[in-house]
Amino acid sequence: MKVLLLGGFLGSGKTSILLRLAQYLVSGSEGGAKVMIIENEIGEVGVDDKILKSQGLQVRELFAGCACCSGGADLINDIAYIRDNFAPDWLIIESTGVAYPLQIKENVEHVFKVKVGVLCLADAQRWRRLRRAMSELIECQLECADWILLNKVDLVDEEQIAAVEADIKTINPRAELRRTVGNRPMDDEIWRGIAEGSVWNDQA
Amino acid sequence: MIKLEMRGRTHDEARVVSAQFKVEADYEQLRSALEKAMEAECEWAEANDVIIGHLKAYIKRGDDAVMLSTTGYGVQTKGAPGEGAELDVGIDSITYGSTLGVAEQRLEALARGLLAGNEIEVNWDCGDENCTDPSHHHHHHDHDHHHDHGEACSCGHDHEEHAHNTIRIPVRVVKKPVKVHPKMVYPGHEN
Repeated sequence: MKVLLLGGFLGSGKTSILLRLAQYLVSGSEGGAKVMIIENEIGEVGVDDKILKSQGLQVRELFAGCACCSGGADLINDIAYIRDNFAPDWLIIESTGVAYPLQIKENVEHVFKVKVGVLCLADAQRWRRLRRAMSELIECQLECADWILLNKVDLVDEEQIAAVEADIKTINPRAELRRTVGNRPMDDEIWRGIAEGSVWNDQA
Repeated sequence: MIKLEMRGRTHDEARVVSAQFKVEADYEQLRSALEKAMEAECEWAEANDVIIGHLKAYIKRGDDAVMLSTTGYGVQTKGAPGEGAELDVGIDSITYGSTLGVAEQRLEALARGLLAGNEIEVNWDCGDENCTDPSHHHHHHDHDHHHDHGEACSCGHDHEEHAHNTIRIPVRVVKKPVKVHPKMVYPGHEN
């Protein structure tokens, strides 16, 4: 079971990216991969799961709490349940927009002895403002990522994109950085890079 | 009587407020009103140096839902509703830079605006029976008198964050456990 953690600030486009990635994994591989998703929302009314249901995905509540803090133990229990009962090829954990992915990653790797890949989104449109107001959270979200998608690049000009990319590279120079527009179809090469990345060959 | 369920709490520096209700109404009218209200929130946030982390809503009709979403720069819409008379509406607001009380008041006002013309019962819940946060808007006053900003009222509460003209609203406070919902999603599997 490969475990992929999807992080990034509120409104950066995680759910849109999640839908496209899940579609690629399910339909792109030979015979289709079995993909299961744990979705952690900070809000109370579950907006995203309504959309996921509308896209043909089944949604079920498992536990309460933010997975990087109060809900950490519950996350572990639920991953164990999924592993033992469904044995998926992929488990994607979509964290809340205010979560610190490193804590989730380390927790899961420690308990399950699996490598957790981290995919993090950055919001090109709001980068400057969020970088100033939420610098600690933004940096902590990005610095542990194996892949970073700079999303909403259609909403800013090339000069701004280049400046944001340069800034991201100062936070995390090793991550593979790609530009995306989450509400449009994307090149499968992006998903292939994530699905077949060398990070999955590393030990936890 | 429309039951408007409201919840509010603070998570680190984020003000997380939610509203949920069901109403029989014209889908397109409500969707349009919600979109306008969310755009108005964007303008208010910009004018008051508040950061909209995420303001998002669903309108579910039948088996399908439409989602409206904004991070302060216009409202995006995804999906399409199903068929039916009843609309199930949920709104999540996650903001930075205001008090929880203000965030709660704004979302409640937004929801009330969508339900104008209906009799509304508002249930507020922060999930903490011992909450002593003075900015936390646990209940409404049933005053209908006008008083100046900051003037002490006979009820003993500080009205600085209340509108100057408060309206008599029948309310009850409901305390129940609040759940934040991580959910399991698995393509192709039955629940």
